[in-house]
Amino acid sequence: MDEKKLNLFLILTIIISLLIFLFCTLFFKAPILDLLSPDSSLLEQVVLVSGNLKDFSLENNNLFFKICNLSSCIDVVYFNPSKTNVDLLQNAFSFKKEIKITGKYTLYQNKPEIILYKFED
Amino acid sequence: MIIEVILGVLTGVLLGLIPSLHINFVSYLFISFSIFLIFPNYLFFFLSLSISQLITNYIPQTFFSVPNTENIMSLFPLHRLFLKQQAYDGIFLCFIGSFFGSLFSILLLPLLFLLFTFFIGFNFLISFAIIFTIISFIFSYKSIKDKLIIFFIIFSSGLLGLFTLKYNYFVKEPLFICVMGLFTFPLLLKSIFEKKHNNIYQKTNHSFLPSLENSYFYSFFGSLASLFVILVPSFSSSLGAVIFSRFKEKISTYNYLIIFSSISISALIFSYFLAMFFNKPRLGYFAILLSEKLVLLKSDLVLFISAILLTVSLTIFILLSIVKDIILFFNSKNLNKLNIIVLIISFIFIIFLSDFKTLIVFFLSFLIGFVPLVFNKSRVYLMGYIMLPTLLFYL
Repeated sequence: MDEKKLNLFLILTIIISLLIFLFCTLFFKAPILDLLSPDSSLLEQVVLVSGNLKDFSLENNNLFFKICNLSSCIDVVYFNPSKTNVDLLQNAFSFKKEIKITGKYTLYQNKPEIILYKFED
Repeated sequence: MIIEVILGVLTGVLLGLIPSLHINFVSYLFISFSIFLIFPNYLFFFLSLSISQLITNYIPQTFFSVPNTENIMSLFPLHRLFLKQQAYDGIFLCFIGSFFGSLFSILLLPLLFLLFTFFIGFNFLISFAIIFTIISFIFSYKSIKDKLIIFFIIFSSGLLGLFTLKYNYFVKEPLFICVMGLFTFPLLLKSIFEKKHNNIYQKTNHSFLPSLENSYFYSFFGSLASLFVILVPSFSSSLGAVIFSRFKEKISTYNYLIIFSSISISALIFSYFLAMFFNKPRLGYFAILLSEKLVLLKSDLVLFISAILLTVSLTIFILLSIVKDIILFFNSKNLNKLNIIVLIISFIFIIFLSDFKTLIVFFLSFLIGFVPLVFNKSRVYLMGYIMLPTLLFYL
């Protein structure tokens, strides 16, 4: 096992890992959570939720808000957001823009919430 | 996400080349200055940084004998090869162990999941393994004087471990401070004053090349050993390597390095996995990350695996292309002066992390660390620092 063989292994592994990244980015789609009738089988999974923001607050560098669709809302928490992301979400909240969030659908103190992972408008 | 991984690799390579810079210290700094928040996927940045720093650290470890607390046991065979002008071989073997170790650790993740879920506990075996190791250390010598010296080294370093690790009376970062005092500073000072070791010209071609079968076998063995090490609380990869070394004495220095580097990288990967799936940090900086809620989601498992593969491969690829130049650089320099610089940098880190009580502990560990050098005994006995507190934890 010399440098040439090891380099061959390394290049092969780099290519495979990049292909996996590409595959995940292109083909993985999180299931959509319907706020009007949330599916409990999606608990502890990554889900997509669309809606408008309400009750926006920043405490101890953690962002708390609700994402709502008509009358149904769900709590969202975003741990340690960057200033840019806080500003973007604040903007969406202020101008009542609909955004799409990806996060983990979980229970906190028996109440459903989403731990935000990423968002897009 | 790929950008975070690549930046993490490059940062890890740069930081890994700095002797005595510990990943705990880096994580404190990054969180204090909110450096992580620049990246949307900061956990992947930190994952790749910690892995690449671990692998890169073998280079300063070889030349300056500055151990990483996760791979202390690699220090001894690396230093042995350094004295035989085979630093390049030593570093190359660590790369092989790290690469194949990471592959096997990924393949062993399902087994780790099952064992951790249904783990009943064989903790009692750990006590026997540690006692066996200590007894075999002491009775490996024939003369009473040697036995007493080994006993003193193990007992004094063990007492130090008890008061700093188990009871945590004195210091907040005991492991780093004491490892520097026990292992790094005595050898650095010895190297500075014994100038004959400082002009050892290191070869940049191979004196030894492992076979592909040996590379697979010993890396797999290391990953498997690490699997059981990581399941047991308070049981570090370094301690696992010490116990292993007593059971398999007939393994060559070269294969030891493959095993130890595989144990270290596998322990790191398994620790990330346990933190992600079971919220159980096994390494200090995970506790820091989890307290800042930097955790992966389970659905990111595939991305986690590909990030590890990319990080390990890219790191070793970069290092392989520059390691000969680094060795030539060291060959052209007076290592004595570099050792003095490393000593000063290490001392600055210690001052940064210390108060007056911690400095006393550091000085005490430094004195204990000198004993094996004075009596020409192996510094592996200083691992009593970890063994005795772990033994008492399980008794």
